[in-house]
Amino acid sequence: MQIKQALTKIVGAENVSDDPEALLSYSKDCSLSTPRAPNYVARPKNTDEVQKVVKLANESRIPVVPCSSGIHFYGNTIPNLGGIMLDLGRMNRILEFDLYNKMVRVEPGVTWGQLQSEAPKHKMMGLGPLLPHPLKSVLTSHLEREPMLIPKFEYAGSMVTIEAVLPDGEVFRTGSACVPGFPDKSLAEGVNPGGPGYLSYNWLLQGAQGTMGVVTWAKVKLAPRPKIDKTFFIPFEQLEDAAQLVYNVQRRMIGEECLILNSVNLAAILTKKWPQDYDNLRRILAPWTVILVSGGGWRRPEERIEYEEDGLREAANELHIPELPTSLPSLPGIERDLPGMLRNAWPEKKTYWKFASQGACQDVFFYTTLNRASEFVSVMSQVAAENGYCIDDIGFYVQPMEYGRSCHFECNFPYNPGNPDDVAMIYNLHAEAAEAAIDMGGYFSRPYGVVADMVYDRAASYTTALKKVKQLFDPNNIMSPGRLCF
Amino acid sequence: MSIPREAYQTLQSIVGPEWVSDDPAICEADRYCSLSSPSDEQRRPGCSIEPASTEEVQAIVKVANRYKIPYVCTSTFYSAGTYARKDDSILIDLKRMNEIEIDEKNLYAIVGPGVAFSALQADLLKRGLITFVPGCGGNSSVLANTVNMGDAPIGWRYGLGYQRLLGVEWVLPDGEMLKMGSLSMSDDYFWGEGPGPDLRGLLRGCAGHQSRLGIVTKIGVKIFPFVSEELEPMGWAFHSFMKLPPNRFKWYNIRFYSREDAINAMFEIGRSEIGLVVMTVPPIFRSVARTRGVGCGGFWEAWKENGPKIKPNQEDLRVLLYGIGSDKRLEYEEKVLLDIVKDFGGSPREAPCRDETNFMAADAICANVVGGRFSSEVSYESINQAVRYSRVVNEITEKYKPRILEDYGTTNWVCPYELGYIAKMECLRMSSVENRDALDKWHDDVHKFCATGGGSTIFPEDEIFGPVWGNYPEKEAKIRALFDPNHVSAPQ
Ligand SMILES: Cc1cc2nc3c(=O)[nH]c(=O)nc-3n(C[C@H](O)[C@H](O)[C@H](O)COP(=O)(O)OP(=O)(O)OC[C@H]3O[C@@H](n4cnc5c(N)ncnc54)[C@H](O)[C@@H]3O)c2cc1C
Ligand SMILES: Cc1cc2nc3c(=O)[nH]c(=O)nc-3n(C[C@H](O)[C@H](O)[C@H](O)COP(=O)(O)OP(=O)(O)OC[C@H]3O[C@@H](n4cnc5c(N)ncnc54)[C@H](O)[C@@H]3O)c2cc1C
Repeated sequence: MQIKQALTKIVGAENVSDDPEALLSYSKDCSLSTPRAPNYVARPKNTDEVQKVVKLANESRIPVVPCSSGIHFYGNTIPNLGGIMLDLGRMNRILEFDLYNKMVRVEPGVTWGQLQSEAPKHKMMGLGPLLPHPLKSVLTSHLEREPMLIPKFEYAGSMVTIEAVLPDGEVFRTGSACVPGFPDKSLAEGVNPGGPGYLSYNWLLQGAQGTMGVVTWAKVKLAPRPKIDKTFFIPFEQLEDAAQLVYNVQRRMIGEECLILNSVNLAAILTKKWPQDYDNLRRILAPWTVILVSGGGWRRPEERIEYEEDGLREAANELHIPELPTSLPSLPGIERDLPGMLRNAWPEKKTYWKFASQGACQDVFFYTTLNRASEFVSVMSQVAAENGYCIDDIGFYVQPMEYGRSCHFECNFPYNPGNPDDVAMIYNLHAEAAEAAIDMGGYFSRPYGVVADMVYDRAASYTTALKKVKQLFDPNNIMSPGRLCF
Repeated sequence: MSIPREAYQTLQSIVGPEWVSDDPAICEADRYCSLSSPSDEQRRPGCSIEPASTEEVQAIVKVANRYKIPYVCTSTFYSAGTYARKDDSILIDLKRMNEIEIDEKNLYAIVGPGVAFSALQADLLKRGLITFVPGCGGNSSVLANTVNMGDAPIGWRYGLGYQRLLGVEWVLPDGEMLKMGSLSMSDDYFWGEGPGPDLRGLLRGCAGHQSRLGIVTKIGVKIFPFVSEELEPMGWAFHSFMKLPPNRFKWYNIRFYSREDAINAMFEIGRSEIGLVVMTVPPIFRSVARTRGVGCGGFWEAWKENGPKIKPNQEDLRVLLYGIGSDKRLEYEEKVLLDIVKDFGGSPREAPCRDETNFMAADAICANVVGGRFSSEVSYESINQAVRYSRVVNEITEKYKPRILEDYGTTNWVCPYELGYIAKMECLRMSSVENRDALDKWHDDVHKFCATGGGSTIFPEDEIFGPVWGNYPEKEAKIRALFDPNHVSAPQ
């Protein structure tokens, strides 16, 4: 009772709840993680309130789990050990569009739907992952290091500076945002991520799944929105060949969005009428498609697309690829619509593409290099088959990173959440697929749920150092306990 | 002998007697690095040791911990800060660890600390790839530079040092090993962060720890696509350069008579995503470059004559256009640049199509040519901040003239990176040897302003910045205590 009263004093009665029904909605998500309910939900409206809640949690030794998105996929906001669910959804202001520096400063509750509809007014676009859920938080996408669709940016730098409430309740600003008076009364514009001093706090908080502090705003990069685009859909029978084209293209540093999808995922994304369009598309689309959007940029857009197209043609010639289609079969107008689609969140009224075919979807994703991607397709398919999963239903998504230096490799296993046998099978399949990928050298830089144990068991020296650092920042282990290796 | 005998014998057995020495002559030579001004702070090490492998480094560090002997490491020994600050330290010279592996397809190289930029660059250029060459020169270590700084003008296109670090193998101050990124789980350096929270955040902020937090023994470092045409070396020192293929590169010098126009042009070049290098050219840099070979006196004579002629609001931009992938791209970049220059009223002039500093061995010529003493204030923030901050620095400089030598307000350099997302501002000031204290006071004033409202500096002093910048020194001290319980890693 005492904690509820204290929370009420901080955020107001209407923003606290211990009603079992309200708690239930936070106890499970779209993943297969075991449901666990929090004891309380608190919905703060500003940094000050967040700080007070974190201090209260320290005094009372009760866990705090922040959540920013309106939807959750990977079980990483499930309160493993109960405690206070800190729902940051009310902190949903876009604090500033900084157009000189091509950045935006957002609170945690700002969604992709919100940002991607505002950014075009400033001739900008957010650097987002593939078709994010409209309720997904922009801040946590960058915080969790989700892969961006445009491989020409240095991925390590998309989140520039942040304000965070550290686990001991201290409000701390990173990089050059630490200067007193930021943002209004200092010359600094908060664009240098390093420090303050000789550490990078941004990095320590990124990928932490809420274990190292609560981020209350972040300044993140935008990109100039191209004036016009030309989209290419290059079909392949084999993933190796698709990967080779991506290498050739990225080496020339051309294009904006660049990704590889198999027919299952491409069909799920482009289907308008379920299920007939979907079945048809799966049949007629090539097994693999490289999608490359050539953007006209800011000036002389036609000329830019012209040299990019020449470059693409040259890259394709080296591989004896005769044609560079700018359309897809039975999808008229898609070349016109796709860039806009990729620069937006998934439409709010449409069932999320990953869930559309069977109702739910389990993902396995990790980093590898493009030349190894096809090996992973074979092994993931083999593990799926061994578990009785229909391999034709697996979605694959290969996202080249940083000029093709590496790639985010993702397998999507759609399944029927209403069928207990399916759920049990997927549960196993997920674990076995992750294990097999790790054995082959797939790198899980963001290990969620059961994968975290597999990863930290292997990364011995990293785990030891990480635990020391966590102990230093969060001596009472109140921030999202039970997650990662903590 | 000042290092305990037992410890020294163990060191000998680790690397073999020929690779460790306590000969005073050898140790004295390892007292000063190339660019530091001799002072009492620099102590002659008690011994100098050259390990050949990570295992040897780890063993040396464990011995240092067992006997509580301070150690400091050097990779190629160029930095002004590389020296022992305590008597009887072990100087660990890593130059033998000079393996290079290149993954051409996936754009990264794996390097040990002894690999200099020039060695890596030579291997890369043959394959149509490049790395950076920082202003301090091609002779410095890729690893030490990337871990500690990592700044060069081609960062306009390819980012700064902290973004180039991939997998890292790190011997912590107590001798424990930490492997980061993809290397944490397999023998693969291709990806840098995690798993989970990214401990590369311990390795460096805006700059690195300068060996105060253990020794990095290997890193994966990003390399970048480049043209496949051969670059032809020409000339003789001091006037050596590489000819760039004119169908792929073009240098422009552009003069603006309004600083605002120059800055706005720079933003617009960024939004248009062209160029490999974009920067302002402080007139004094140009004068220094032109007086190579005539020595310090020659420079000052020329400067006294030319300096006053510089118009106060004049700003020159230097832009290297980059036709990567095709000649047509270079044509596109040139058209866009000339459009922008026209829109902002600049006058462009094409410069010779060659390179002295960006791909070849750069050299920090200012430091050497003008003689006397120099101090510099370096800040990484936005282009706007660079311009406003440099105005304040100019005002502070006025207070110290003539002891700080007349620069006519022209020594502030704005060098933006990442297509304009971030920019460096470097303000260089000079004095005679006798007036060195004026530089110190100037620097102090600049930093006091910087701490409370200016923004960002590369090497903050804890006393000035700590209390107003979130008490970061306390956090660092806790991290150091955690990983360096015996306080042996380059203690200050
Ligand atoms: C199309 C699509 C594709 C996706 N693909 C991927 C993918 O490939 N890989 C992937 O990982 N995810 C992917 N996601 C989902 C998304 O990455 C995860 O859902 C998200 O990162 C996890 O957050 P969440 O939505 O569960 O909760 P969020 O509320 O967004 O929280 C994310 C994590 O950060 C913590 N947190 C929340 N707010 C804060 C804060 N303010 N300060 C500190 N910590 C905080 C939470 O405790 C949690 O651990 C995808 C989503 C979509 C829609
Ligand atoms: C005049 C001048 C101009 C400069 N200009 C630039 C510039 O334009 N761009 C730029 O990026 N930098 C510049 N610098 C700084 C430069 O980055 C460093 O001096 C450079 O990295 C030193 O190179 P080094 O390889 O010889 O390092 P060292 O002198 O060997 O070491 C540098 C520091 O790192 C530590 N260190 C060395 N090896 C390791 C290791 N393996 N693990 C952990 N710590 C280690 C050393 O103890 C030392 O503190 C300049 C310096 C000077 C003096």
